[in-house]
Amino acid sequence: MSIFSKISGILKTEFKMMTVYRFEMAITLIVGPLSILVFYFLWQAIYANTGVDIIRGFTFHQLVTYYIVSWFVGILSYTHIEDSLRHEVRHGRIIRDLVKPINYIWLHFFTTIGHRLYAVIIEVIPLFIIAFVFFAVKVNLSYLPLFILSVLFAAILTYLISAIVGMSAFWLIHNRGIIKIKRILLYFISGAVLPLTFFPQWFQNLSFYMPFQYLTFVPINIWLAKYTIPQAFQFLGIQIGWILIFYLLCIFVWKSAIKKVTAVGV
Amino acid sequence: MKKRIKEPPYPKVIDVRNLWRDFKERKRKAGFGAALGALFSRKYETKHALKNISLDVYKGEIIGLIGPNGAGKSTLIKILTGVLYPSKGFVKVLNFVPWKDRTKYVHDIGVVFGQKTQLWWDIPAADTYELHRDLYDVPRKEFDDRLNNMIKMLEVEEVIKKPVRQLSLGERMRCELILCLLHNPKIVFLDEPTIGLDIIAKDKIRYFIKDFNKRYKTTFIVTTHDMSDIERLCKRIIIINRGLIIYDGLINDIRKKFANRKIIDCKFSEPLLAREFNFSGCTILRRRKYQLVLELDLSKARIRDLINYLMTKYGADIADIDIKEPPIEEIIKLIYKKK
Repeated sequence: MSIFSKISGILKTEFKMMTVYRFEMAITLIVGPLSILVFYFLWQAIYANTGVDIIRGFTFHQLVTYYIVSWFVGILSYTHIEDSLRHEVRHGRIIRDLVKPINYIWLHFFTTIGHRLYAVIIEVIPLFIIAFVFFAVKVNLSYLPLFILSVLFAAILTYLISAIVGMSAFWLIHNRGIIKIKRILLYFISGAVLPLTFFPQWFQNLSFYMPFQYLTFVPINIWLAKYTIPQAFQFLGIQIGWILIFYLLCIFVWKSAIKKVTAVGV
Repeated sequence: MKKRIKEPPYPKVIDVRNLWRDFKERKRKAGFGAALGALFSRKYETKHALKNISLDVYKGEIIGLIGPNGAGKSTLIKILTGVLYPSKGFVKVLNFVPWKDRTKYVHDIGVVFGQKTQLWWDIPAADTYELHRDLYDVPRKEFDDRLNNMIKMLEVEEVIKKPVRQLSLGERMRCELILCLLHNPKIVFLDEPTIGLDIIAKDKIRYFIKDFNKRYKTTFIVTTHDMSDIERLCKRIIIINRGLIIYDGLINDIRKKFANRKIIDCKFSEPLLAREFNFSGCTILRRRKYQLVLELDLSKARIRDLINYLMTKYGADIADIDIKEPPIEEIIKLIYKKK
């Protein structure tokens, strides 16, 4: 089948690429556990000083689990699409990808998958060892399949949002500012840095209607079994809805972006 | 002389009618004050990169697309490859409208953008070829045959096993050329394929293109600044300047059109002091201590008279006289200036 050979070709190539730089790989191995340690000591101090067992519905152990799972979700839903777009549009290199017989959005979607499959082997397995051995993280097996689905959906949604933000390069050429704002904003309102239960009530209500909590907060809560099974299914449904909306938006923006390609002097 | 390949058995593969492409250009003066001013108000200016371009290309042609920097060559190539949308006009390539059916259309074309590598930088070219096979869905046997054949012809057996970033420019360009031909395209666009290469590398690439064209009747459109590329490869050239096609025809026709000029290269055995030279219909192209290069307009004067004049003037000091056709570069320069 032609489409499968295309995908497997992209995945294979991405794998080959990733194995080229071993030092870079070694560094990413350390970064994850390190940032979890930072949060670990920070919250240890906070819990010790306040003297309570539960803050905003989280025990200390749950919160540590929250950060570990948050890191895991972050690894799986990471994408380079906005940077690719920024560089390629600015330097006119986008024309190289445009003369390939595959849609640009899909091409980079599969590159991202290849990239992430590699990350699973390199980053996630060590992370799991640390999580289970040192932090005694527990797995709720009945929620595990739901969690895996929700992480996949979160990754797809992240990719689509990043692609749309990245496409601003076609109009702005320099869109680094917008990408940075998006990153910081998403970091907070997706719940990656702090559970959304720490935010004011009105914001939590608003979050339900925005796509962002479905990127990190919801998948983690599914892992932590904070929802009932039917609730979890409902959230998966909402994720699918957002994916559809952003997919359509993505196509729409791409169609007008592609008319903006100039690549003068290339 | 062979006739221009225009009549039927060769079908038309590219049809361009009244093609325009405009760019909006931001006007900005240099300097700090102007930069500050640009924060608040911006002026745009519409520039026509292509003005009313029409052309036909027939199967199996190798066409040289030439013109000074910024003439519109690249814009035209980008529209023909479907990467760029035109402002108005009609384009049909192999029954496709390039920018509309792009992902389907690109199966039938090959593209090399000389300045931008399409090979993956960190892995060997051979790995990019494998990906290419998957993307273009080329049957294994066909792919292997074609690849091995090209590897042999371009002598890159070892080169394609090294990561691309370690290759020399000439090696890389040969690898690029292979890449764009792997899916057996019907039309190949080469945007400055020999830029920055040494003579041997250039020769290899030219020979390869010519041979490939003969064997598979693949159509090539080549942009270049190197006239020897054009002379070696093409019968027909299209000259673009300021967005207009100023010449479309055979190289030989251009030569004939300008055949009423001769270059006379005179060498002397004694220093050519500041002696007067005055012969109507003749201009001095270069003047050195022991050399004088002249251009004679044959419609104004005869060669015989010029030689006579030189003999009476310098007589015994003349070591050598060489009479040549003007090189194609000079002719092209003249055409650029004229329009």
